[in-house]
Amino acid sequence: MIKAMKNKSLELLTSQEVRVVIGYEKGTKCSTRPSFFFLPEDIERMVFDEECKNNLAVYLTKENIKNYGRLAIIANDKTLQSIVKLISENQIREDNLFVLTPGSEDGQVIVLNSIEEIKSFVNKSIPSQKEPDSVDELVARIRKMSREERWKYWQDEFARCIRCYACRAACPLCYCTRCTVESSQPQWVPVASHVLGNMEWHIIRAMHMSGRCTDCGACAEACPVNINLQALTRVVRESIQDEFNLTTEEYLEGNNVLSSFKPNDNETFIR
Amino acid sequence: MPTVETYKISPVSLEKLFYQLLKEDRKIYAPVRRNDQVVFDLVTRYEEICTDFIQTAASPKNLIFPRYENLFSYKKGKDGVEIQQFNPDSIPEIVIWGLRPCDAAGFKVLKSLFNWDYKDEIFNTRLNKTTIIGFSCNQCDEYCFCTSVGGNPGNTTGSDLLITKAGEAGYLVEAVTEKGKGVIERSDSLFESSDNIRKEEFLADVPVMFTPDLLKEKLEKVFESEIWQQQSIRCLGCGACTYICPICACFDIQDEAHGKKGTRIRCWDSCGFSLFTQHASGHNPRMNQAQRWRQRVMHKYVYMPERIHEIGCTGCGRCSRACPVDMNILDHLKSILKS
Ligand code: SF4
Ligand code: SF4
Ligand code: SF4
Repeated sequence: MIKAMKNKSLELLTSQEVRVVIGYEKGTKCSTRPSFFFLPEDIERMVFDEECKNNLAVYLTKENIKNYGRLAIIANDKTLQSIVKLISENQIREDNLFVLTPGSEDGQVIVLNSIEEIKSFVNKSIPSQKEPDSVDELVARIRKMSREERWKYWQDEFARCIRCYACRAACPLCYCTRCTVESSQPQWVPVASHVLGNMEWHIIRAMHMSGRCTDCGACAEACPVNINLQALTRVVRESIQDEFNLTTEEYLEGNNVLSSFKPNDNETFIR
Repeated sequence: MPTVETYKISPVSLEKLFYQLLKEDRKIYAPVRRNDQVVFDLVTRYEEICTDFIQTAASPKNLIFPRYENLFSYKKGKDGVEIQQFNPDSIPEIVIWGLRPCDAAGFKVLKSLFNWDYKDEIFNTRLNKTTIIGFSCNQCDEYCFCTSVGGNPGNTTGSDLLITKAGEAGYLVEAVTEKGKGVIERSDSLFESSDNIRKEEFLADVPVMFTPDLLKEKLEKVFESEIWQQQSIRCLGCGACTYICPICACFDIQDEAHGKKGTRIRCWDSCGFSLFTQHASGHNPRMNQAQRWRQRVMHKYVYMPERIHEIGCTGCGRCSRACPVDMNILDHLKSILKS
């Protein structure tokens, strides 16, 4: 597959259909890391395998990357879902983007070049049933706690937060150029990483991710002190899908629950 | 520089030394396993201490330069503003046990930094009340490069005592400072003569990649190079690398006000953030990530050597290990040297 991926990338670069391909290269130890391929000869460095875990969609909203205009991105499942969400939030121009992703056949690479293509591909590839992972185990543990225990659990977790904002920086959906935590007039959230400041930051983060987080786990992966942020956002996502009765497809393409308003909403407080 | 005294200590006596220090009413911070990481935390039982690790996730700098600390508090009254200064006497005596030589050396750099022009009383008091017991490294990984930035796996710089595991039978103890010698005097029955242990035989082999002078010379020529843009294009602009670094010490001063009273707080800050050095006008002299990345590298290997005669990096490799997008600083420095 890496061969097909390289060939497609090469094709797009040599035909000058794109200025840059966002993909992966070999990293330190056995890891891989994000990499940018501008010239045909760069493609040699490209790798693509199960180790390619970074969610590259994070780069699509960055000003300096958008300035390149037409680009291609190599997308794993997580990246694909983020792209659909970014499209639904009008953050990506489809005519500027080629998405390269592995197809179902061995060694096959699929090129998606329009919103419709991307959406229908993602909808087809959403697994109906997902194997429980370590985050689910943690969520199950937290769900068994009383309200007070839960509050204590998260306070203890967030007391460790050093406020490096790696979770925010790694998240494709955290694309605001000015984050509310950095507002100084008024200052909504204390800058100091004490428990109050940290709790406020994380509650705001979870709320702003509600209905938007695609559960890719980039935040938890990035956290240098191993706070399992995904346990929080996963529950937020699950709750929203349950409460609003949304399929995964509807969830990904739907509007942000925090900023949507329906005049005929069932809840009276909102009217 | 006082001369270094050397001793030997058996594993059993080393444990006794730990409990002796606890008895002296000192809080001991040492590497322990928490949340799938090795981190510095308060320790009261010797067996909790983790020794089999390359480097802790974050450096212990927070013990002397905390994530946030109150500098003073104030109250506005009828007769003006009343200021209550932070009382350095409230700082406890602590021991940092089991830190690596690159972290101990980091404290020396921080000391120069916090005494460069203004003498920072809070920092100095914390450091004075800290006993630093370093442990030499007998293993390293591909992220380590202390030997390229003036350090080595058995470096005594910054430690009060440096302990080197010399086989199964015991440890070599080097008392580097008066504080370190004091620890030995207070428990002298635990120590034996060092009978010429050859420390070098027990140290990790960290290859030298470059010299600090060579790097500085090169960096001074590449300020305008494209390389900063090429290297930083994948950087996400977070604060992980700087916050876990033993030396990064940029801070932000914040007032937390509640009506007529408040506190002035010093909080960690990072050159990776887009708001770093942004002026009140909205202008930022470092507009993009490439300029911010250049600042990080230049500050460490060019500006700090010029201003405080210390290299702003001890080669601990943490920034590379922690970076979510594998910005490996050693790789980047090597490619700058090659450019
Ligand atoms: S990445 Fe971790 S430590 Fe950094 S701000 Fe997020 S939760 Fe806190
Ligand atoms: S180099 Fe890595 S850790 Fe540092 S700011 Fe960039 S993304 Fe964050
Ligand atoms: S710059 Fe990186 S390698 Fe150097 S001391 Fe800081 S964390 Fe360690």
